[in-house]
Amino acid sequence: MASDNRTKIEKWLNPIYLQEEIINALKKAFLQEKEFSHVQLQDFFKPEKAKTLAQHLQRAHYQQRYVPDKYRYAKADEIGALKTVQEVFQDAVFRLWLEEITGKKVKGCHMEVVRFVQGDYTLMHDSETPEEGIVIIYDPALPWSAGSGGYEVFTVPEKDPLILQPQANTLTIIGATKETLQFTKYVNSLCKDKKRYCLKVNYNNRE
Amino acid sequence: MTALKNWLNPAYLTEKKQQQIKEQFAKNKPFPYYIFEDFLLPDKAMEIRKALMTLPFEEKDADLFFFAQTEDLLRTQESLIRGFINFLQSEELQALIATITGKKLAPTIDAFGAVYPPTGYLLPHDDQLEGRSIAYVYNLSQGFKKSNGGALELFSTKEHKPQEVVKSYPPKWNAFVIFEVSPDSFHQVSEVHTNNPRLSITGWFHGER
Repeated sequence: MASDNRTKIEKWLNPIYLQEEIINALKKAFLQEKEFSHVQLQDFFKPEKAKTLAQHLQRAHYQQRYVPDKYRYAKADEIGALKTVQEVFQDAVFRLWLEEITGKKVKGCHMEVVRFVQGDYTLMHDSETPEEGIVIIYDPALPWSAGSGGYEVFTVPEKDPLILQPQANTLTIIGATKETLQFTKYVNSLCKDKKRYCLKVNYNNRE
Repeated sequence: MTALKNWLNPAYLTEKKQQQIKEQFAKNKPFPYYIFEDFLLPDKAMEIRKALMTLPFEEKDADLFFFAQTEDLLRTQESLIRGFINFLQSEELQALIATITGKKLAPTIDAFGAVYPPTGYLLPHDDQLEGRSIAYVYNLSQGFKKSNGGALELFSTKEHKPQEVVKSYPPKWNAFVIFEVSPDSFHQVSEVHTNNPRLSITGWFHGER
């Protein structure tokens, strides 16, 4: 079993991210971010995996979600072909790798597959109850126009917000506290009909 | 009556017209509002537009909006804008707004200049904050077409939750919009698709405490 799992992350991840000295550097980078513990990993999946994943994200079936004072975006209503990547994020070895970098326990795991088009957004809400844990965001290798919004913003009171522009085949690991609020910036017409696809995984420290 | 006579379109000065507006305000859906077309005397409108464009605007960018705003216009040194603010705060205009809306108003207001650049927007919200009774937007944009965006859009609500846009008004030159601030007054400004500045003076008439 352990060797199967080992194979899974070895099959998917850019091998550089499994090297011990790189993991140590990521660990340092994650902890050194005083405002917001986070680290960004470019060229995250192997090129052929990233390519297939981008295709699967585009082909998934999305359901529109619209609550005007909270959000407007689409969410994949079935995992389908994305099950393989979900299995990577749920993988025990992947979690150990995450725990190693973040120094946090990552147990409960929830993946969301989302799509943003022009006019889509999410808003921060007082009624939100942020949870302590680790959030990972993966942006596929698909083109996105800078300046068209659709980026992720993480905020905590009295600190500069963390702004994450979509970057191709990039995984961002963020440490969330009980005060962390998040929103996705309104996608404006400069996106020229491009769609932003994204995988978001929340890990908490509960069973 | 000097304040009104110096500024307001005389068509709005008759009691009959005011009674008509009062009825329309109460009747309008999804929540009470009214649009005064050709609100000010034409020269005044043009002078205010020019004066407003000389003021510095600061960009505002958050989850809910992207636009640019002037300083608090109650503190402006610009004499024409000052004059317009005094008109908004005059006993005569306050009495007129109170008559139309049936609200007891305090003699205080808020006022800011706002300009929406291309891709500027304001997402759905209800404007509720202590003290705000009637919201107003005085439009100083010229030549806005439907395809230019920047429309003021009103939402229907169900149990105080916004449902869908049921009214959409592109900004109209010299139009003054008022609406009642309530748990149902959800509205937005649609994304602007033109370099033509969407310019307005906006704020609230406060309620009696």
